[in-house]
Amino acid sequence: MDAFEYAKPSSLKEALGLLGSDWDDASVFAGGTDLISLLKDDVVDTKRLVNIKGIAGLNRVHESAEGVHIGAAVTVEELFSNRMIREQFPAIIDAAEGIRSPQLHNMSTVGGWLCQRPRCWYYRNGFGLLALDKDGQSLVTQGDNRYHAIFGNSGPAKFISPSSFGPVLIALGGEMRIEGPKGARDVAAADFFVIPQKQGEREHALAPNEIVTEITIPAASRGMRNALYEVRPKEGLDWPLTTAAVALRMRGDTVERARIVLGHVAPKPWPAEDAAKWLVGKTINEENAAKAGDAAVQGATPLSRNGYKVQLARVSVKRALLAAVGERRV
Amino acid sequence: MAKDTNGYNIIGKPMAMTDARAKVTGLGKYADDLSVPGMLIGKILHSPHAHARIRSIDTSQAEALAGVKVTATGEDARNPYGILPIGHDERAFALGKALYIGDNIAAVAATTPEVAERALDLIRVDYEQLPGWFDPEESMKASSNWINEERPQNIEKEYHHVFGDPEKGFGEADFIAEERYYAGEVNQAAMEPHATLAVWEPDNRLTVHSSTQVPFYLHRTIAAVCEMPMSQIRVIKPLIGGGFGGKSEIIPLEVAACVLAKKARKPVKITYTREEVFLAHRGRPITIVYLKVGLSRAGKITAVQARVIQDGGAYCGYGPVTVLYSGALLGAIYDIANVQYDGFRVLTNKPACGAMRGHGTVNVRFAFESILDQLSHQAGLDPLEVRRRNLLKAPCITANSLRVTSYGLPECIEKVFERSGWAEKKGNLPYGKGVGMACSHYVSGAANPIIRSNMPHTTVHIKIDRDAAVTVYTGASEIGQGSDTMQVQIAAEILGVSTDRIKLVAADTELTPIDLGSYSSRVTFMAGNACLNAAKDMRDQIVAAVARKFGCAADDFEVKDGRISHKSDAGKSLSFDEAVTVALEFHGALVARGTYAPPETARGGKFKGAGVGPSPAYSYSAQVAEVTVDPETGQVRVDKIVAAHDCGKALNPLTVEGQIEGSVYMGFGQALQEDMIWKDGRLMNPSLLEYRIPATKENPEIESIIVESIDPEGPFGAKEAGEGSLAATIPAIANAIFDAVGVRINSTPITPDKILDALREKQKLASGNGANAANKPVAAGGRL
Repeated sequence: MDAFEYAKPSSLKEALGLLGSDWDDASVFAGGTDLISLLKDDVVDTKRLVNIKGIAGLNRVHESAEGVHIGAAVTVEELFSNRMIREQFPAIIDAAEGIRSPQLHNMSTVGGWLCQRPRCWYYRNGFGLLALDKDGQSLVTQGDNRYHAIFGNSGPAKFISPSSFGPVLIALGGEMRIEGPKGARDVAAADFFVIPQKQGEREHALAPNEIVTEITIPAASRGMRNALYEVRPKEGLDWPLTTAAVALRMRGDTVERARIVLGHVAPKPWPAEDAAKWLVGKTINEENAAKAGDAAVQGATPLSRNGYKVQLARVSVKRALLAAVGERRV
Repeated sequence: MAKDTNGYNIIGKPMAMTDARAKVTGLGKYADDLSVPGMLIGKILHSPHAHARIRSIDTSQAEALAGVKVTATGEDARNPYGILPIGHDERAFALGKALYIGDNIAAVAATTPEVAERALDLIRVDYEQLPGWFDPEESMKASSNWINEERPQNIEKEYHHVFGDPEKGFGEADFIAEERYYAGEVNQAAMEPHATLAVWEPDNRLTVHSSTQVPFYLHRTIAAVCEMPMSQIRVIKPLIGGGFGGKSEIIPLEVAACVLAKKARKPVKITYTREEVFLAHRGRPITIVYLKVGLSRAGKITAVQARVIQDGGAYCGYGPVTVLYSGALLGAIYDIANVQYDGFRVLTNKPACGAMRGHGTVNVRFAFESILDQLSHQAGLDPLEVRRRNLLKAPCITANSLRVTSYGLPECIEKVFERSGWAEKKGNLPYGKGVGMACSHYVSGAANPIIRSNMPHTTVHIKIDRDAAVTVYTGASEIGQGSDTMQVQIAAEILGVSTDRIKLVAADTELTPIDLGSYSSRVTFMAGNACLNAAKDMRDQIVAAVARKFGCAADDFEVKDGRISHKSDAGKSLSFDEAVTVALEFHGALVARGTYAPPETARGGKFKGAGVGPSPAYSYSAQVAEVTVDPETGQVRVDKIVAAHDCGKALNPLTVEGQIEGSVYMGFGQALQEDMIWKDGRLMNPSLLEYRIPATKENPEIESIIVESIDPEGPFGAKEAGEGSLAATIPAIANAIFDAVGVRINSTPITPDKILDALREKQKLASGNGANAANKPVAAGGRL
C-alpha cells in the first residue's frame, strides 16, 4: 500500500471538491471493507481517501410519496434491521443475509454494496479489470474461468458483477442519485451498471468526481412480492455463485407483472426479460417457476469451465420465485 | 470421554491448556508481537516468473534509498539447505535460477515497512524466462529444461515396493476396482502467519525468535547458512498460532531474517503477508492416485496396487518422506498381504509442498477408503462390515514390516456404528441424504529420525531448587496442540503435586535440551515418555532422600497428594516441600533427566525406503459422515460427523477432543472447499477470502468419541491424537455423497460443478442403457 492523504469532509460540496477528474486522484471511502483490501493488495492506488461518513443526511432511511429513500452511507446492518424494509422488501433482507459476517454488516454501506469492485481473480491479482495479456488476448478465456460470466461475456469483460444488492434494486425498479460538480442526476439502477468495453472503463456509470448519495425504491414497487435466492459455494462469508432477484405484481394468484434479475452471471446484473414476460398471467408453482428458470438461462454463453453456473442460475430463478410467493417470517 | 482414570490424579482428567489464558486475553506474545530497540523490518523480493534464469540483480538503487540499511541476494549466503539430508536444494535467495512465482530473489532491511517496500521496487532483476513445468504427469516426462539439473525427468524421488504376491492376490479376487483419484492442493492456512525476529547481539551472537515447529532444525540450518557455529546461535520459539506442518521445516523468511541481521549487525524482523504464507506453502501436494484393489466375495481385501504421483513443487522439502508415507501407510490399518506401491515425487515450477497434517497419508486414504466403499457395493456387502472383515490381529508385524502394538480400530468402528445409527440409516435415507464411513490411522512419531544420528529423539530435564518449584525443561514445541500442558500433567502426576507447582520452560535452544520438533505426532509419545522418565528419576531422588532420613528402604514409600509417606507407618510422612528440603540437604539442587528413543523392534524393515512408516505406535480412527446433497445445485451440507479416535490413553480428554474436532474440520475443508487453484504456476486465490477454509457457519456438528487401547509403550498408554482423524473425514463425506445421490466424486474438493456433472452423466447413462442401468453409480474421477 502506498501512502495517501486522508480527508473527512463534513459537507457534500466539500467532498466533491476533494475528488479529481482521474480515478487515481481520490477514492470515495465509506465502510472501506473492499477498498482497504484493494489498497493493501496494491490493486488500487489512490492519492486521497475521501471519507463520506461525516456528511450529514447520507445515513438515513426514510419514506416519502416517491418511495423509500436509503442514504448511501447507511450500513448493511441498519438496512437489515429496519422493520419497514423487512416488511416490504424481503429481497433486500435476503441479500443482506448473504453477507455472512457481522463485521461486514456493521461496516459496509449501501453505496459500497453497489460500487464494490469485482472479485475476479485476474483483477485481484493485478491483471486489470479486463484481464488481457500483452497481446490483448483474454486471460479469462484461456485460463481458469470457473467463477466468470455466462452472460454478457462476448466483449472483453468476463468478470461478474459482485453485488447481490444490484439485482434486487433493479428488480424493484430502484434508482440512484448521483452528485457531481454539475449537480445531481438520477440514474435508474438498471442503467447504473454497465459492461466496460475497453481498458480504463469502469463497470458502473459513475465519473471519478461523482458520489452515489441515495438509493430510491419507487412507491410503485410497494406491494410487489419479492425475494432473492443465492447459490453459495459455502455457508460462511463468501460471494454467491449465482443469484436471482425477483419482484412480482400479483393479482390474486396470478402474475400481473414480473421482474427477474440474475446476479453473479455477467459483468452487470442481468435482467431476464423473456422469462419475466412469460410469467405474466401465470400462477407461481413449482412447474412454472422451473419453466421461468429455463427461460431465464436461454442464450447463456458459458466459458470453458463455468457451464455448471447455467444450472445454478436456472435453480436460483426457480427458488427465488417460489420464495417470493411463499410464507415468510418478518 | 475416558471412563476411568485408573487412580491417576491428573492424567485422564480434562485440563485447560497452560497457555490458554495468555491466548484468550491477548497477552501472549507471538513472534510478530516481539520488538527490540533498533529493530529493522525485512521484506523479501519474490520472483514474478515461474521458471527463469537470473542474469543479474542490481540492488544499488535500493541501497541508496534513505532508511535502507542492507540488501541481500543469493551471493550473500551460498550454502544450500533442506530439511532432509538428501534434499539440500534450497538457498536463502535464488542463485542462478528462480524456480516458481514467489521464489526468493533478494531482501532488504530498512527502518520502516514502507521504506522496505519501496526499496523492493528499486531492485532491478534481469530474468531470462524459461518454459515452466506445471502438471506433474507432464513434468515427469521432461527430457530437457529440468527444474533441477540433478533431478532428471524432474523426478525428485521414486520408490517401488512389492510385498507378498499382488498378482496372485488379484487372481483370488472376485471383484476388482480400478480408479484414478485426484486430490487438489491445500495449505495449512494457520491463523498466525510466519514471523521471524533475528537479533544480532552485541557479542556477535545471533538470537532468533521464530514461529517454528522445529527449533532444533532451524538452529542447525542457520548455522550452516550463516556460517556460524551452533554454539553462537540461540533459537527461541515464542507462542505459536498453529502449525499443522507449515512450520515444520525451514521457511525462507527464517534464513532471510538471519542473513539480513548478520549483514546489518542489527535486529531484523520479517512477517509474512497471507499471500507470502501461501507462496512459502509446504502444504499438501496435488496427488494423483491410480488405485486397484481386489476383494473376495467374503469381503476380504486380496491385493492392492497403487501408483501415486505427487506434485511436490520446485524444491525437495520433505518430499521423499511424503511419498514414502503414502505407500507405507497402506499398511498397519487393515490386514493386507499383497501390496504393490509405485510412488513418484515430481518437481514442478510451484512453491514447495511439505508435511501437512496427516503427512503423506491423507490423499491415499481418500482414494483407498473410497474404492473400498465402491467394492463393497459391487460385492453387495455393507462397507462397514467389510472393514470388520479386514482387521489386523494385533499385536503383529505387517507385510511391510510395521509393528502394531495396540489397535483400537475395531472398537472405533463399533462405536461409530452404534452412535451414528448406521444400521438404520445406511441405504435407507431418502434421496439427497446419505451416510458414509471411512477409517484412518497415523504414526505416533517416526521411529527413525530424519537426521542421521543415534542420539535419543528427545531429552527432558527437571530441576528443583530451594523454592520447591518444579521446573521442566523441554525442547518440545507447543504449537497449540497441548505439548506444554501434557508435560506439566505428566510431571505433576509422577511427583504427586498439583499442576500449579510445575513451571515449564520449552523450546529455547539455550535453556532446554534437544527435541526433534513438533511433527509426525511424535510429541506426546516421545517427549511425554522423556518427561515421564525425568519425573520418575526426580521422584526417586526425593524418595531416596526421605527414606534415608527415616532410615527405611525407598520401596517403603509412596508419593501421593503432595506427600511422601511410608506405606505402613503413618508417622513417617513429609510434605513435598519438606521432602525437597531433605533431598537438597543430601544432594544440593536437584536435577533429573529423561530421554526417549524408539525401540529397535519398532524401526521397520531393511529395504530401500523402509525407514519411513515405522512408528512406536499407531493411532486409529473411524468416522461416519451424514450429508445432505441438493441434487439441483450440487451443494453438499455435512449434517454430522461421528468420529471415534483411538489415542491409546487420553492424557487430557479436553485437548484430545479438540484435536479430533480440529482434524475433522480440516478434513471437511479439504473435502468440500479448500483448493489452491493454479494457472501456469500462479496461485489464483492467495487470500483467505478465495481460499475457502471452513468458517463456523459451515462446520458440521461433530460427535467425538475417545477410544483407549492403552499402548504398552506410550506414556500412561498414550498415542497420537492430533493428525490421525483427518484422513477419514474426506472419504467418509465422499462415501456419504454416494449414498445420498448415487455418484462417486473421485477428486477433491467435491464442488457443486463436479456433482452436477456426475449426476448428468448418470442420467445420460440411465436413459441410454435402459432401466437396468438406472442404479449404476458413475465415477466422476480424477478430473483436473
